[in-house]
Amino acid sequence: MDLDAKLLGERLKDIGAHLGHAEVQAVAPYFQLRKVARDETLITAGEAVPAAWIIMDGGFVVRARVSGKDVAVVTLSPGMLLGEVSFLDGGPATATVVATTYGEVAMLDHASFEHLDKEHPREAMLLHHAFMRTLASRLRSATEHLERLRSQDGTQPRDVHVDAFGSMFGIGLLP
Amino acid sequence: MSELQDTLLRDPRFAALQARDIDPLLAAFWVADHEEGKVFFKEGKHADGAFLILSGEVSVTRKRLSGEELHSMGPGSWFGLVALLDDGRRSATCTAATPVKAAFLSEAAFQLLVQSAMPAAHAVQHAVASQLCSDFRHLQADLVAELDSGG
Repeated sequence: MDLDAKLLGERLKDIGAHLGHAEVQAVAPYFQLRKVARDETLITAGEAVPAAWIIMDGGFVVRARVSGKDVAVVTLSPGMLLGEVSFLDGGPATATVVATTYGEVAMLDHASFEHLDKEHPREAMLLHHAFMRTLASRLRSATEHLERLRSQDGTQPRDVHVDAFGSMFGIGLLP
Repeated sequence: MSELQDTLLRDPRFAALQARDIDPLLAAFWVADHEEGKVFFKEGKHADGAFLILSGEVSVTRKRLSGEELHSMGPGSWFGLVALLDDGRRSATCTAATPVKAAFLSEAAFQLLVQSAMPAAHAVQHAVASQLCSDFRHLQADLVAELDSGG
């Protein structure tokens, strides 16, 4: 399936990877475009995830188990990055992500990234850096949420806690 | 061998580098000794670099919690990374809990590393990523614990 390189370039800018036209053309072949059906699970928490995804189109939601219940904690939209923690450290997926509409994601798996790194090291470094910046921002946001929780008197409604969890994965919160 | 080189070489990513690759990296760091109580940076300030602890312990505190220590870090840990990466202000105050020897990597040096394709730059990127991922997973575990406690 063909990946729209121009759209990929725009989505890469959304995640902070400001690559020029030639650079986008260089990295595009290493991404695979995947179609996702509504209600399809893209990522399952705890499973090995050897890839990162950039949402090209469609809506997704992060789901988590809160006190034994499956809860949607945050919505994700085009231009957002998924799977960067597992991509960067090779560990299991940190959350479950489900499509809420038909969607398309651009997937960069480890093998392809290593190949990109050999062929285009500078572009690979810029992508890697963008992934780290996304992670750093989520870490900051989630840390602030957690501290707010801990500084309260324990009477915060459940939604506040769910928002805190959601802040780890996206900048948009459920209404 | 310097303490910086020794600390870096404990990480397999750096241990795999040739001496000619790691020497320029060593030159990018500024190593200094700090007395107990030294404030490396204060919460809310702009970031000018990150630190790698070579020896000693560093405590992390935040104003919101009235200066309560959140956690401490020891040799081999990086601190000051988040503000360096997301261009934000320092999210915490970091203070030497004991005498500390630390290697400082300035923002300018870090940006040069990001832009370069040197093997040593790759190793730094991956070491920093590893720290961030570890911090993220610990934070997630803390949040899950808060949620499950019915808070």
